[in-house]
Amino acid sequence: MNNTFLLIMNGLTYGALLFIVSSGFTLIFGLMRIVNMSHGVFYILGAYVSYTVQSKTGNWVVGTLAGTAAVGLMALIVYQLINRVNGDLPRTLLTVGIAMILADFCLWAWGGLPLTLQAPAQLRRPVILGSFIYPGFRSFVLVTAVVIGLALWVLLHHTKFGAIVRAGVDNRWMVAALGINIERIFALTFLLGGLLAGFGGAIGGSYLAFGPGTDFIILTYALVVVILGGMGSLAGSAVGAVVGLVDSFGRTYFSELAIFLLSGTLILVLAFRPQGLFGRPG
Amino acid sequence: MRKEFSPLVAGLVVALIAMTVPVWLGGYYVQLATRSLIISMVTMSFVLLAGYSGMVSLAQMAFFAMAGYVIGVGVKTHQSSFAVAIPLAVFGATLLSALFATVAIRAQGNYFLMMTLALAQLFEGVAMQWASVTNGYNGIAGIPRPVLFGRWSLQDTTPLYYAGLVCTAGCFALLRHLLGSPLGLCFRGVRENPRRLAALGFNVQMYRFIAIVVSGAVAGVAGVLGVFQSGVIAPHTANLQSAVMVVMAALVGGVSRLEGAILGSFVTVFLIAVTSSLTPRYWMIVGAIFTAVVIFLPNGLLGKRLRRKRRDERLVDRPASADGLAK
Repeated sequence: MNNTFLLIMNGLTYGALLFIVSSGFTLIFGLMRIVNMSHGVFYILGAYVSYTVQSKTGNWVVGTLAGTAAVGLMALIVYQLINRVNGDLPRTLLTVGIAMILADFCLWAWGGLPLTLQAPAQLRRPVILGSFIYPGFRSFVLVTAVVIGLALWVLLHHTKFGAIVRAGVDNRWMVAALGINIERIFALTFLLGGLLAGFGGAIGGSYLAFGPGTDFIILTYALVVVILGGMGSLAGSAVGAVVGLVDSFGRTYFSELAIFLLSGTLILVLAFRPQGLFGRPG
Repeated sequence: MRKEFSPLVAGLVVALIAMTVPVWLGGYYVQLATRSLIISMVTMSFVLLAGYSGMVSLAQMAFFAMAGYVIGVGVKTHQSSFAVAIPLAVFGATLLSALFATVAIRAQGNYFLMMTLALAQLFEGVAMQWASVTNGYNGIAGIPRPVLFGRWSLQDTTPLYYAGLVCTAGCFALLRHLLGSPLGLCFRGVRENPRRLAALGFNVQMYRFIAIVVSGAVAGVAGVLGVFQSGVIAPHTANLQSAVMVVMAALVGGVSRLEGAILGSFVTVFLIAVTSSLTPRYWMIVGAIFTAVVIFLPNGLLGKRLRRKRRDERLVDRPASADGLAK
């Protein structure tokens, strides 16, 4: 029983992290039709910058903010590059090239060994719920994901920016034709995606080791979440929770075949709902 | 009449050069040329999908790796004979492509690309995790090579080169024939305007499925030779960097031509080999070159020339640059 509780919680916290990372990914895709292949690298870049700043200043919060900001800046640079080419596909391929450059840069700058960030002691205090004890930091990730989800929901559904983004997801050309500077909205969305990925890296790096290769793993999981959930749908990225659960149980009970389980889920869902669980048929 | 450069003469020159490569090149360069030939088959399979059917697939290296795993598991683990393992390997790659196709043909454009990437990454994950069969991260090493006609072992550089040459030429001829056939015309129709094709009563999804399965078989042939060259099959064979190499080869050569796929593969393989011998940071450089190709050379090396084609041919053979694909 206790074991099952732990598995559920681990699955949910991993799902929470996946939600943070893939919400930006899905917004970028939904609005700009670009698969941002550098999203996984954004994650580890956030974690690495946090690591360096944290070891210099000794402060986790400062490190996390620095990692988030650095990736936000990087996202704006990448956006400028993307803006130089036309067409959704060349843009996507461009992000592949950028991902390769950045991944190799990270390997060069921070070496090939896995690292972890040291979360502050206040956040690591275990949470005790009756007879259940759960690591404090993972609970913090769970709460953070819920807060971010709510904040994004408010942003998307109760601000002018959000209304424009939602309209853009449906028809970006129409939005542009209405006199809205769609490129600025694209840039802001890209920035938002970058900030979320960088923050995800800093948070995720504080309890899961990261290193070369983590970027591909994160990218894969973000892809699976977004495909399962449906493109451009915030609710869809909450499907990350399901992916986290499948992954958590799979790893425990079918250690060799956890990925089979994940692929099976993906194929099964797509067989019945090609547009994903929360996507609209396009 | 404008002076046309004759494809027949060019073809003969290329064939002559290709057949004499082991005579005038050193062992290392012959190996690189073999590698280029193997990659060019994968790139042709990519071009079949991207340039002729409008589907950009990042899963070709997964089919390639699948064939390698079948050879590895069959020959190394179960000591089966090559006569059984080789057809089985190509069949395995084809089967995997059929499985991927059933899922991925539902999607188009960038969504298709994303789907194939996710499937390829999941394949890599399975290869990594299913350690009792695939031996996990390290993969299967020391895979033996067949000896052809009791004389030429494919472990040796020169016989393998010629095997690669024969297979590449075979795949090229086959795909060329296929693309010239009514079926090939349907593939192009799928790229140009799937809706119109569907309205004319063609089963678009079926043509997309067929294209993917054919490409899977071609990538499978390449995978067999690939594992004969390296003697090792490991999950990283199917990783994103390998997939990117194929895309890069196709883009460099121009996505719209099979010849471009071969040229682009040679350029890419030699480029990676040269940069990796100069610096350990070669992925950074290759990534930068890839980025530059996407920005500055969207039509590839052979792409521009296509615009000068005869008019009747141009009607069906519109250049599908990376740019043109994006619609």
